Amino acid sequence: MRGNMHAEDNISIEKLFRANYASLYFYAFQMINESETSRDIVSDAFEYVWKNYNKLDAATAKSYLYVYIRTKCIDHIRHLQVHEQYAQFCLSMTQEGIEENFCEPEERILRLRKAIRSLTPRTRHILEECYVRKKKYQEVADELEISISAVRKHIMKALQTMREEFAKKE
Amino acid sequence: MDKNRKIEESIEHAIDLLEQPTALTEEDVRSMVEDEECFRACRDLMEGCRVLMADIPSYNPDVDREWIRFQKKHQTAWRRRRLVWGAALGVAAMLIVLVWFSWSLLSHNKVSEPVTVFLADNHPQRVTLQTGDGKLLALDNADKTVLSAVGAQLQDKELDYKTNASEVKEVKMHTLTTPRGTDFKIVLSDGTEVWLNAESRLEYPATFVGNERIVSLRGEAYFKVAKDEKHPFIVQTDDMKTRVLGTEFNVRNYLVTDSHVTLIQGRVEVCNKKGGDYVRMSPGEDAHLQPDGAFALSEVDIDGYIYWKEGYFYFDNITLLDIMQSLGRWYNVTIKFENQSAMNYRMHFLTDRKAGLEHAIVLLNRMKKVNITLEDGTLIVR
Repeated sequence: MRGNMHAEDNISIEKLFRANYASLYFYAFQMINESETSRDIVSDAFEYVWKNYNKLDAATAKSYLYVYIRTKCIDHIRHLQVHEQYAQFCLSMTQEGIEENFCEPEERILRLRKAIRSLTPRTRHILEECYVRKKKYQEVADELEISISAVRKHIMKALQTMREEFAKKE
Repeated sequence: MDKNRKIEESIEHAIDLLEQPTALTEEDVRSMVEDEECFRACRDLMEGCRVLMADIPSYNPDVDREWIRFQKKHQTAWRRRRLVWGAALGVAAMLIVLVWFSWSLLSHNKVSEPVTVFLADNHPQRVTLQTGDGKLLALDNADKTVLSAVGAQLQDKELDYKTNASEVKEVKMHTLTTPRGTDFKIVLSDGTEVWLNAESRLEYPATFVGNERIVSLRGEAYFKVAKDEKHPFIVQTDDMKTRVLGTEFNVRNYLVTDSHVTLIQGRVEVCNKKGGDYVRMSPGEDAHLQPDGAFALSEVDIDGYIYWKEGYFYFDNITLLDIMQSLGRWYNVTIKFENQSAMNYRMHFLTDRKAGLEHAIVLLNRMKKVNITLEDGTLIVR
């Protein structure tokens, strides 16, 4: 019976890997903004979980993955000596997830996705430019030939749409 | 009006901060953490952008390639792997994770700031039912005809599937979710009664078919299972299964470290979901799932596990940390410990849930071991 064990593990770690890799990668990438390092950290996290997999079920493994990645990203940021303040910012942004149960927010993600998809292409583009490509608002405004306050209005609109989606109950 | 203005300002501030989070000052970070609206706005926007990224192919990692890379890196290790070795690492890993948790708590509280052990939830708190077709109904204003169409009858704080059981032909999975501060009773199609505690979720078929009656739980519930020896009743949680024939027992699984089955009467068997064998329990016993998948069986005072369904908090020799988290879950308040050693005080405590949070605080303070105050919706333990 023990002989089979790691073949089964192999399958279940693959399942875990495929189901969660992308979201974990985005989680890391948002903090350290660098693809290569983010992928390394996520891969290390899976290695860590894989070594201990016979002790963990999928839900626990998932929360370990997040804890691991969060810690490593913060370490990395501190190492670069970018800014202790930025590390603090990342810590507090990711704090709530750490304390809550990690499976519950799935509903939240579904709603977020619905909200984001309902935005106009322009609003989505502005979000991407500002927060994924990390451009300054002025830059984005110049590129689109609109005012800074118009850029901010798009962001405000995105937030409002998310909030409306959270508030919906049916 | 004034409040809306304030919220708008907080959101504007959040947008300011997010322009260049790598250049924040200490003051910026403090202003964000202290202003809840601003904090939420930042967090929602960040989370929204992660979801946005997932929708844009160019940002998406090539998961296939990453998996192959991961596998190659560990190919030799796969073969060398030993179970014993894995077990030793497992224990070490648990320790490391514990250290991490305390590290992140401590590093967050350098200036002897209080430790937050429980966070209030700002979302509206309602009991909801998700029906087979994915529809989400809030039960406080649900249309009874919609409910009876899916086989359920709603009366006050109870949902009954037994009465209409014979009329429903199609098997649909339903999910009932309770918020903080509300419990709820369900009568399943076989007559099994389930009391679902606050902040819990039960998934069950509107009608049972097949050889087994299977439900899934997250949170806490008390089951009074209708006797039917031909169709075992199985309660699944993320990490364990409880199999019964007809009996009363309590299952709790709020946290991964806190998976319990407590048997009141009758006979049940529990097993972990990693392929362990079923362990038989006797009445009055509590089975606590350990990280290695074994169950620690102990004789318990069953009152603590059943009082909640009668509307009481009952704690016997329980740490103040656990007590406060239970209060936080029911009354939906954030809990902070300024006096961190107080987390480990053990107390005996009984109060009526309906008597309110203030009453519970008065009772706890009366023991003269700690001073608990309610400030702006946060309970602070000094």
